[in-house]
Amino acid sequence: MKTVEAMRDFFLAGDASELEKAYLEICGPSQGEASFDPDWQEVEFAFNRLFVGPAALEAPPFSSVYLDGQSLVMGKTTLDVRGMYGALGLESPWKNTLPDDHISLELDAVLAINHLARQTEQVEIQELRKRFMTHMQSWVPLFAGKILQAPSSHPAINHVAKCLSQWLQEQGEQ
Amino acid sequence: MNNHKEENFMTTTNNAAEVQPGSCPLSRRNFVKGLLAAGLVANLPCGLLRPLQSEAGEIVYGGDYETFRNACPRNCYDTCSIKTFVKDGVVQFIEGATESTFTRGGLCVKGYGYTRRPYSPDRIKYPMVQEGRGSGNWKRVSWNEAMERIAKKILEIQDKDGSLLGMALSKYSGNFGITNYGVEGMMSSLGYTTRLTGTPCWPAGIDAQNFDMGDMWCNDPEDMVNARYVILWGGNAAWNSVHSVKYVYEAQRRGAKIVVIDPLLTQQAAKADEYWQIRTSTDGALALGMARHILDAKLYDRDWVMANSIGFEEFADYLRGNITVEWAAKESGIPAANIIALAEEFATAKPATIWLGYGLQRHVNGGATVRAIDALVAMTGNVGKIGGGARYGHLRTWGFNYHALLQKQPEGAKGVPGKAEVKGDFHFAGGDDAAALSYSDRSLNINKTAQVILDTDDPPIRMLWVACKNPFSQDFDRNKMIKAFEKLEMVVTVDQFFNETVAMSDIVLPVTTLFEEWTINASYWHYWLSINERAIQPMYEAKSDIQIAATLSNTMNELRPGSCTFPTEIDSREWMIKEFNQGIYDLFGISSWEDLKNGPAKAKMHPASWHDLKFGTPSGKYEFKSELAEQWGNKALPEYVAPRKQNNKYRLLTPHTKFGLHSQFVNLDWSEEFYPEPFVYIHPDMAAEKDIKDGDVVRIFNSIGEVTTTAKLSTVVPADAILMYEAWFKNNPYNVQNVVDDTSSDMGAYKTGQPGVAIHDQFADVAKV
Amino acid sequence: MKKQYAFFIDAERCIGCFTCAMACKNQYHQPEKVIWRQVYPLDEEIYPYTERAFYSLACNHCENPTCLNVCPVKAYYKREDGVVVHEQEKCIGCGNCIRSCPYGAPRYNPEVKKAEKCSFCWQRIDAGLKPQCVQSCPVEALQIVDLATFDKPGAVQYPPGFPKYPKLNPSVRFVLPRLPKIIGREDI
Repeated sequence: MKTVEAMRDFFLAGDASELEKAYLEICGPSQGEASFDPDWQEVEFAFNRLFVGPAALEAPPFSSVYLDGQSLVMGKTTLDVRGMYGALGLESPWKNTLPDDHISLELDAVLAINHLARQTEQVEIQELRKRFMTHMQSWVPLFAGKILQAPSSHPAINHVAKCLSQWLQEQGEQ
Repeated sequence: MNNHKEENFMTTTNNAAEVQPGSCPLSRRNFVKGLLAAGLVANLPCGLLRPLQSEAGEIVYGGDYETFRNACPRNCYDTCSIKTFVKDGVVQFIEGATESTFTRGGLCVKGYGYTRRPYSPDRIKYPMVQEGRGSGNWKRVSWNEAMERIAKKILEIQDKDGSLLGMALSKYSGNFGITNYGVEGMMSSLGYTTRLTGTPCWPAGIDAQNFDMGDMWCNDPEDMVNARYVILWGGNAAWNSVHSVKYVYEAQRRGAKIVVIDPLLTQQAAKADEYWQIRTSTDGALALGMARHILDAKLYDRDWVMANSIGFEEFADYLRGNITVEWAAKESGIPAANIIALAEEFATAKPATIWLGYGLQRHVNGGATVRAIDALVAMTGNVGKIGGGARYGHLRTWGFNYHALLQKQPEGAKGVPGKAEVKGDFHFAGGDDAAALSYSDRSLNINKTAQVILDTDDPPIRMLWVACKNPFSQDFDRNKMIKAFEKLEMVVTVDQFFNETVAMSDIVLPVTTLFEEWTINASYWHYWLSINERAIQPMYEAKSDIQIAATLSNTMNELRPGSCTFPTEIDSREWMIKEFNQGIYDLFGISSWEDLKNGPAKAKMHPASWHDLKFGTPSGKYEFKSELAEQWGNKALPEYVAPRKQNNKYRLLTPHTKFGLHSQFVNLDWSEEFYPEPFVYIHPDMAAEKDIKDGDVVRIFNSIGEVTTTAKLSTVVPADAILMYEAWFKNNPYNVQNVVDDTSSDMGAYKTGQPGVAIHDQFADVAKV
Repeated sequence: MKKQYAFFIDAERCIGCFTCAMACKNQYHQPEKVIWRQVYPLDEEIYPYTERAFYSLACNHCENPTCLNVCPVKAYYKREDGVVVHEQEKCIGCGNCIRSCPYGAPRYNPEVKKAEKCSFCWQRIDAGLKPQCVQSCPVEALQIVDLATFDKPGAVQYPPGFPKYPKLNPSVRFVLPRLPKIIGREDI
């Protein structure tokens, strides 16, 4: 689960040091292709061009952009996701200022859902987990693909995208 | 189908009874039972998501909407009153307010795009810093950090120059909400700074109307239905004031003749009874030709002229000595017989009115043109009449307190020695703190922004604050602007979208949209007043202009106490309320600003401007002969001023597109569906000469620069002109300012501080690529 | 005649401002290319000046709608007031209606993989309001009328450029645009 938390923190990172910290959590002390030392300033510039701005985002980190068509946020999908958090008794602390379907919030929700799924046999929880994972399956691969193909793609960020894809695949197999 | 309540006309797809594919089976009504009881929610490992604030499962608004009042703050005649429908904190859709007879329930193609605008993922979300201007390498910073960088630069300028004259403001009409004058207030609260004053929009005409009548004051546009004759001269209401068109139609239905005079066959021209294709910039000649004939035929209102004007005899002498219908025909391209016929029709229809557009006066002779047309309306006795008037604009409903605008410079601030009144078309507050005032801001011409940045010294302009403006898209001579920006040490831009100016900035600050801020909106055309409520929370980290000012002030005072007098903490809603005064309440017949929450209010004004015939001129009368005009470097009479000499093969016209307002709207993806790309319009005859076919890529070029785009053949443009619409497309380098220079128009300095700019006196050639 | 709501398009009043098209998008937030109402500029053969005359068109809520007739799952029905409603929940996205409507009213929505079209804002009508497009029009060029009582002199069902399908009997009426008297320049 550490990986999920780290990925969650990565996609919400505000600067180079936060990126580095989250990245190291994702990779662990020594893991294969991740054992290179990027210029974190460069990573920050690329990260912003992909996910933050101020120009148009190369890989918007919101599900509704991929599911609602025409790069919409705060539309039907965002509000559906909000509804799923609500079903858990949860809401985003940035409700109405940051779209609820930001990848980091969704990863946070996965932490909640998986935790609950282990704690209780309730059918509704299992159903909700299935539905939420289906939701993530429907857009996260597109998001990861967008990252890899982006003009500003960076190896470090690509690595995180691949981790995200791999993790999602494992979730599906469970 | 679903049953629904009276107010619940939109059934949502989240219906508890039906499961929609892709949506949550648990409607928001249902909370997974027992989770709370089992104490499971308390121990969730989430780092971000938190327990629902409201009682779990409670639907805040059910199927109903929360409604708010907003208004479009753009630079547009119509300043629409908006009703906003919000559900669960998200704008769902908007409508025009039905309470306003002017807005009448509908907006425009741009306004309806607002539903999209706050939620566009391209929106600037956070303060960001560009490492290397133009590099595209942006870092996100906190508001504190952004303010620190800015504050340190401001203090550095203060220490280096002993004043803040090295800090300049580029601001105009991107947002006309009254509280947005807090940006100017912020500048004042820092010290004496450089202000780019004047206006690219309508200054020549403002001066002209002031010389003639002592103010710019138009009839209520809703009274146009009473006109028996309407000339829309050099203005395209169908694109620029869609809500006014219904009044023109109604006048027409009642029997009025509608005439459009324009170099282009505009949309409004297509709806006229008669359209005159005039040779650009010769409108003054045409008006004077008409005046000559009206004089000769003794069709002028002698009684009116005798009682209410001065200088008519001199004007008549000028006409007899210098103007003939034949001459006017030759100059304007309009047949003499038509000039005579129209003159007689106009003079004998009672009342008759002329709507003077702003494009009309964006010429080197624009002010003179407006004076000549004003004279036509006056000599026929149509000034001061319901259904009459020389309609241009007004500011009679803008008498707010300007609390946000009026801030005091810090103790000991230095500026340009001497008390000089900073002027602008919307400059409402005169300097009344005369006692302490021995310095003033430095005023430079907004219409020559690039040139003044390049030329100004002692001290030079080191830092530019850009708000409610987009110099790279709007200001003239783009190539010169690039050079000018190279001189600037720091550029701070406040905006919603990543436009060309943001790309050339060092720091960008995210600003709120209309739904996310409190302000008030009046119009310079109709007589209605709207409140603009904060309907949704600001997205991401956006702040309004006055919140930004407060934030900056906070940091300034932390670094150097007393360096900024702007309050460091403000309540935006309170600041909106502070703008109201009894004068406004009386004018609009409301007892409190809260009345506006029920809908816009209309000023209790006589529909006819100058109905009391008490003109604001030195003589108190309509001045055909104006000494004031002469003092300001013009002729005292509305004499003809020749057009700008042609300096390239074809005239180039760059009016607005109906889909956007300058660089706003066309970049939204909703707009891109209907208006995906720009074109240059050329006449088939010109195209044939140059072997250009419909759809060919062509360059438009002159000594200023060039534009490359796709050609469309059309007969709406005359064979000696090129037409391109001014707009900013998101992923397209198209920018008409590449080929537009900053030549001044003849008037504007008197009332707006700087001369205007001859935007439509440009010339270029075109060639296939 | 039975009640039949229809759109009345006064192309003489219409200024091609696209307010109606955007008002619809503002109400329903359709995804890209799923356009319910489009504003079509008339060809030069019909009106000699480019982009100066238009027909604003959506669904014509035909008397005998082909979409309803070809739908294999009965996802369409026609109301008593003549409005043709598409029930998207029942739709299986087969595309029959999209292919058969000569006016291009039903469009394919790729995100839900189903058809959809102008609904005549029937929920608004039932609440006593006008369709968004009609309410939004600044010049009343777009109106809703009841063909049972509509009686405007000069109004036609098939103006030039509008496909003629009497078997469908589209519920639309038009007034044609006119030209102004044009005084051209003598110097060019």
